[in-house]
Amino acid sequence: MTNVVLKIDKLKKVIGKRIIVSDISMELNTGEIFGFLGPNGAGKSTTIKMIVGLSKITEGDVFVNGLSVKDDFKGAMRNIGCIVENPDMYKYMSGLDNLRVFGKMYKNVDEARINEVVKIVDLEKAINDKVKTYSLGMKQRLGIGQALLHRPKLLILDEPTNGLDPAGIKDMRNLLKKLAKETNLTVLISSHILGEMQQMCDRVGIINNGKIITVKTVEEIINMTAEDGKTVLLVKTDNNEKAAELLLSVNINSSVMSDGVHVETTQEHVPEIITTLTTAGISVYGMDKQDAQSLEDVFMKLTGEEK
Amino acid sequence: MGNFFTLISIENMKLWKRISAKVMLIIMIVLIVLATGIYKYYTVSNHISDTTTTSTTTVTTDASENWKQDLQKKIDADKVQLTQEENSTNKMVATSVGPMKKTLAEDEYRINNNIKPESKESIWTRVTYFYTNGFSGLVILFTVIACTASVAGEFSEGTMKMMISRPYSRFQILSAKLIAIIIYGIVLVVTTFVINFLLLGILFGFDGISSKEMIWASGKISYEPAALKSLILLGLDSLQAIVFIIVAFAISAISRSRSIATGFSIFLVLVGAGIISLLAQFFTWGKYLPFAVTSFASYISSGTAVGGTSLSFAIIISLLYSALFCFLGYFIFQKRDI
Repeated sequence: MTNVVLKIDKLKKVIGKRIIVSDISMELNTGEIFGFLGPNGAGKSTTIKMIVGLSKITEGDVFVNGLSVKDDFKGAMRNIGCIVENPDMYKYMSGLDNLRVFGKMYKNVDEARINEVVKIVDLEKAINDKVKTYSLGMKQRLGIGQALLHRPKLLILDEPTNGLDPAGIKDMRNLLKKLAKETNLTVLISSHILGEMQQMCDRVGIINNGKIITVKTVEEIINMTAEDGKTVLLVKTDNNEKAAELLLSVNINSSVMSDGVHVETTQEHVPEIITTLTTAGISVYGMDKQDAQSLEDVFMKLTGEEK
Repeated sequence: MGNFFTLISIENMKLWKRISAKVMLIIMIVLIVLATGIYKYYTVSNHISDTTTTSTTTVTTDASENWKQDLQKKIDADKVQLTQEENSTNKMVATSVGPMKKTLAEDEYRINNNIKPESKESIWTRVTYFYTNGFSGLVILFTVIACTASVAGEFSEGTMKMMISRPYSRFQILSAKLIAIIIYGIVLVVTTFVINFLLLGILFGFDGISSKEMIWASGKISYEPAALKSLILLGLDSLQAIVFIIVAFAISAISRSRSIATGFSIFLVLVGAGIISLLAQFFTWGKYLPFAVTSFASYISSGTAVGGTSLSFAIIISLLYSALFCFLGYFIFQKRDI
């Protein structure tokens, strides 16, 4: 129990007669980054809103650090920092004033802590500017800043990479990883961008049509593709057309793409591919496992099965 | 446990950080200076205050015993008119029954208690006149705007969800806003009254600062310090402002849209309340409508305008409606998903 920071217990949300989510159960442990994955409208935001009290819980309960959101809302909220939907801050105030406003709501936040957080999210230069002058990336960082102020056990970020450029995404990823590692912060992060999650998260939960489909570590999920035997290899050669033809002739499924030859195969066939190509006089420049695609494949397969 | 007073100070800080809050206060001050200045210019260029006051004082000192007879004649004429008004079927005429009764009662009180009519307006009369006829309306308008910005504005700006997911109950969050808005209203009222009082005093003199005036309340006249009367009228005007704040507050919490809440509330303040009070003058059921009888100060300053109502009736009706609006606002805010 002590190790579980967030426990979601058979959560259900009904609006009118429509069941938005049902039977959502998950447990998040200290210091892990947990990805909450699902297509748009799958119920990610609804679940998160129920955790932070924006949406009323129809059935079930959520425990944050052992405190029930239903019975001890204030206690539970003291352990959560969050950004839901967009990092909406008070635009007419400076970043610093925003942090002061939110910091005042907790007993353990003083001016020194606010300065510390400004450093953590790297906003020292712009902190005295009005938030309306901020870029989206800066708003995201300020949002994370206000969520970290009171040193919560759990950080909840709803689609935090939406609208960020690749550099911004990378910065955020590094920041979250650092926080999880150094301060034992638990992070629940929702997204529909799969590549993201794979690089950031320890475990992922996949949700579709309001139901949790699977909760697994990233490796387990990637290995799921290995279990059914097939991965996609990107092979780069000096003659892609010829290579694809050759491989097809030895019954290895392959196709020519703009970036090289995509070969669908299993691990034990890899030496065979290399020999086939080299004996035919084709120079092989590189071979890559299409890892970035694999989570997406699983995801498509899993969410596809549901339909 | 979350400290509720901290929450109020947060709301107060957010309210004042909005440029509009400061601008409204500045507009108020500019208007006070302008209005008082123009009034002074007008009286000086027309020699109104000088000539009339000096002439009346000379007249009254000469004919100091005559004022009673003059007043008695006026009372007799007014009594005839009152019976006519009371028997009239014309609804418009009926609205002047209340003010006429007040005038009669005042005049009779003067004769019975040997109180000569004032020759010169006291500072209290002036400042109250300015306040109830002009600035009180602006206070209502400005606090209503601040209210919709603070409550509905946070929904429109998306920051309400940042407020809810905190160690405070929704009831506390909404209440802190209401209190912060009322504090803003108090700041407006006090600033307006003090600046206007000082300006009028400087330009026209602080005459009659300890004078007494008649207060017309619940069908009786009492003779009290003018300062007290001013404070009572100011208080009643502020009470009226609170009635409108609560409505704007409820509309904001229910509609969650700043533009809808602001538009609707301002319409209500500027036009809606006027239409409803007209209804109250023409139909007997009209006085039970919300906002039919919210100009509490007028019961004392000019007499009952709506037949069959009294100040306590007006306050009780408004209290009931305010409670209802408050309940609706809180109830929906508590239940709703954000």
